[in-house]
Amino acid sequence: MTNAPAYIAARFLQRFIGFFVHWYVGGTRIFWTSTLRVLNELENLFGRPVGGSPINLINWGLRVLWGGVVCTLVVFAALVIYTCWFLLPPYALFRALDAIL
Amino acid sequence: MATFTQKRNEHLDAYFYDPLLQMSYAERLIVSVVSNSWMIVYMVGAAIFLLADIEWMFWLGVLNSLYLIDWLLHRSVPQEYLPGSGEPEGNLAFYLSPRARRAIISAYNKATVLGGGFFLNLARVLSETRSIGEMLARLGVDAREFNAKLDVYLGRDLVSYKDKERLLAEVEYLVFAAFENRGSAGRSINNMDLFAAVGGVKNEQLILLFETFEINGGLLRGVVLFGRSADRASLSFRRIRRQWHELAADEYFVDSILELEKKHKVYVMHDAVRAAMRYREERFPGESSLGSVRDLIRDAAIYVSLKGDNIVRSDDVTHALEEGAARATKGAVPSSLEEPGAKQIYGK
Repeated sequence: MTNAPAYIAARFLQRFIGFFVHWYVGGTRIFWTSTLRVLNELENLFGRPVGGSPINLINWGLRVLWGGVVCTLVVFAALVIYTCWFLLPPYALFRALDAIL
Repeated sequence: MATFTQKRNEHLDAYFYDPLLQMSYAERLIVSVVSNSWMIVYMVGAAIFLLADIEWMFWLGVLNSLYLIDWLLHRSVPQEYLPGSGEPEGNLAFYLSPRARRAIISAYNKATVLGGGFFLNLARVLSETRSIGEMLARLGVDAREFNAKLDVYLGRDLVSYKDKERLLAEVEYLVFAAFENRGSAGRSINNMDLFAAVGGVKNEQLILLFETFEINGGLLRGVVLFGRSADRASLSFRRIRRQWHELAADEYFVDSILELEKKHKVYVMHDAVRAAMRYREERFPGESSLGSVRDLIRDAAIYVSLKGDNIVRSDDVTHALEEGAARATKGAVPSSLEEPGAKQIYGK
């Protein structure tokens, strides 16, 4: 048997914990799944096989090199965004506490 | 309830427990008032903090806003998504969408306070929602007429629940039935699943009501997928989702019909889908692909759109089928269909 105050307290706690679970667990999953999908698309775009002639092979080599640079930039940008996003709640709390104290 | 016992035996680890339904009406009211008031105060407080010039208030406002965004994003999400086959099922109350849960609680309150059976009360609560209105429309049922008839039956229903256990057993039965009906595309038990389950309940008044409108649980289950897809998101979002996720065949089919509806500005009735399915069965027995059904509905949609109508019925599907047969014989585009969109499809 549950009474109203106990239920309200349990829901409050559940939502409070739920926020962090959504932010960190759910968010991390969505963020990196999306990043990996983008990298996969880039791989398909830059790594498309070409014919066997020397010109084609040079073109393909340049394309793969350029793709490597783009992928590195994407990973770097993703890392920066993820770090900012990961640190946003503790940073806001730190700034609030810092101003109070 | 033999069927219910059977259902329970098939899902030994599944149960239904919602603490709100264990409380008295007054306690549920207190919970509702306190929760809603708290959210209003919280939102106003977050806005004031965010706009304040004082630094600590601003940063607390930012934190609270993050919480509010999370709350808004997860407002229509069930506590847990439906388990895959073979996964433990646990408490079915966790899989109810918040709207479905509110509908159950509302019907539960009405049955307790105003009287009338839970199933009829739930049907009444659900029939007022947009998704069920669309479900009924797709089946060719006028929602206002349905509601009026439902009110008459509700007035006649003299069930009173002196025994709370009986009411709880009915809620449990319905949630189990809705859980049983879930399709591969469903991530939660929503209003439409509940309504389809209500359609299958062996209740005298409900059977009479549904027979009046020539609908039943099976038909309702058939249109649940349409509502679920349309309810989930816009067409553009669905296109993105389709690109990034593997969808079940029936989800693809439903999405393609909804796209046809948008493209040709028509509304495909469920009897048209059933007619197309029937023709597929007759012409290609054993064929599991839904592509031929979709093509037939597309032809019917073009035909309907060209004649200036906007509802695709079973007759239109029959007409499209006959046109297709005539076209195959003559090898020409019907003169009435000589417009760019039609040529593209009919001219192939």
